[in-house]
Amino acid sequence: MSEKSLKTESGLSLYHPWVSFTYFVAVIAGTLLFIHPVFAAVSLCCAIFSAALINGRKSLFMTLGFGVPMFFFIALANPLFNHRGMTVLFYLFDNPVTLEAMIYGIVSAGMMFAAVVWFTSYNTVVTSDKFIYIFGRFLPSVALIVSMTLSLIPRLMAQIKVIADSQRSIGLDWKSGSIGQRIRSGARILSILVSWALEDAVITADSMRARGYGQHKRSTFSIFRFGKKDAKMLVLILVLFAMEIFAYISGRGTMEFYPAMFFRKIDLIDIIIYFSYITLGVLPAVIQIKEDLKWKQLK
Amino acid sequence: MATGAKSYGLISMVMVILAMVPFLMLYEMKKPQAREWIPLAVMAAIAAVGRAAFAFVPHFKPTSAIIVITAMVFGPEAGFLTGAIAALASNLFFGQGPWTPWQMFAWGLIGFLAGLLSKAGLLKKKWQLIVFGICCGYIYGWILNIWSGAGFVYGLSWESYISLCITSLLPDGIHSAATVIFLLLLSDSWGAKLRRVKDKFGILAS
Repeated sequence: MSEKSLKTESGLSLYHPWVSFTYFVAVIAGTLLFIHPVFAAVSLCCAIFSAALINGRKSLFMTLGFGVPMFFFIALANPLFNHRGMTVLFYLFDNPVTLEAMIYGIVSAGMMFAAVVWFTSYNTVVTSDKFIYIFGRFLPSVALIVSMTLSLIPRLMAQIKVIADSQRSIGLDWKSGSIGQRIRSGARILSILVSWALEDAVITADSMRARGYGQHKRSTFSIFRFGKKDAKMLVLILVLFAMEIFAYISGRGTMEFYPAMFFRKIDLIDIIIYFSYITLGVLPAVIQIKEDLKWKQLK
Repeated sequence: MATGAKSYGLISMVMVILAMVPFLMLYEMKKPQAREWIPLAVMAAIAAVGRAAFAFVPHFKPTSAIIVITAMVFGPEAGFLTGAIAALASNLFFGQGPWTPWQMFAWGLIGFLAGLLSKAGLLKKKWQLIVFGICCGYIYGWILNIWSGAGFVYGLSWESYISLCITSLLPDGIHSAATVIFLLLLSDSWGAKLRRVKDKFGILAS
């Protein structure tokens, strides 16, 4: 398996946008909902595993490079800001640092870290066209502006390069000089960009009107088909999502941290909940691995 | 009901998303013309690009200033839309995270306030612009701190929230300084450019 082949459309990406979007809503909601060491650990492990498969190892290392310091920052910040809990470990500047706050910090740092890692997979799977497809159902006009803005960004970036180059040729390089000069040059480049872009925008608007924009109800182009495979997967995700909500409402997904940590005895229902949560977490990896095996067999 | 530690992270995230719905619905119900919204898309895109272009100085971004200038010309609703879309689009481009709805709301609110103040004639003088520019950095920072606080500090007490705001004083201050500098550098010339487009093509003349 080469790293590159995994980055193309595969696994969860091949499902309908509603399926992949619902998946990430379910998994990220679960990650942020359960302030519990077991759930946080499961989510974090699954997030890292999925990100390795979906984004490749290289991008995972980049995420970890930014996520691990964040993890330590949050884990350490909590006992410093929060002085609740019974077990005082030591005093720092006359404030008690407690074991409970420390554990709480580690758990919530794990949750945040897991959410960030899940989002990196989300960014690969739910591409902006899929997001706009979903969002456009509810807010078509807003979705249209967003897609217009998105298409403008690369064009503006290209234009910035052109403007910056010509500015440099007349001795106004934004990459050299003091910070003040650089900011001034940067602002000038943006100003030139605005004049160019606004003129361009009005022409676009008139051209759209000439072609009948606003005359009829807008239809949107999409290449997504909702098939049987999608329906099955969506039902599975919704069932697992419902399990999450049940776990939260019944109080099995959270635990008491303050004043002292309290672990309930684990019963059969807890095991079922853990099992369904793990199933949800490993879903993208299972889909991906199943596909790879099938591909190898067919080869 | 649930016992134990409550997840304020998810609750607050749902609430901030719901808070944006009325603004977006308002715009949706207006059935806007292409001429009305395309300049907003352009300004949102420039705000997003500006965020990337000035990444060489941490927390120093022209985005807020660009949103304020747009809102001053096109009004509060257009200001909210430009701010929210600038945040959403730049994150769609550079990567989403749990902070996306917060940034959308924060920048949307800055645009909305700028539009309201400008309508009331309170952003005409230089000193008013400077005061509002300073406020922008803190409005943005303090809204994003709600997320940081709700995300990891149990109970989201006032005490922990205020200590978070104290730790973020410097980055928010840099953001404020950037907003003031860009407002002073750009507001006259960009305001004129935008007003010209507005007058010449009759944009949002309702």
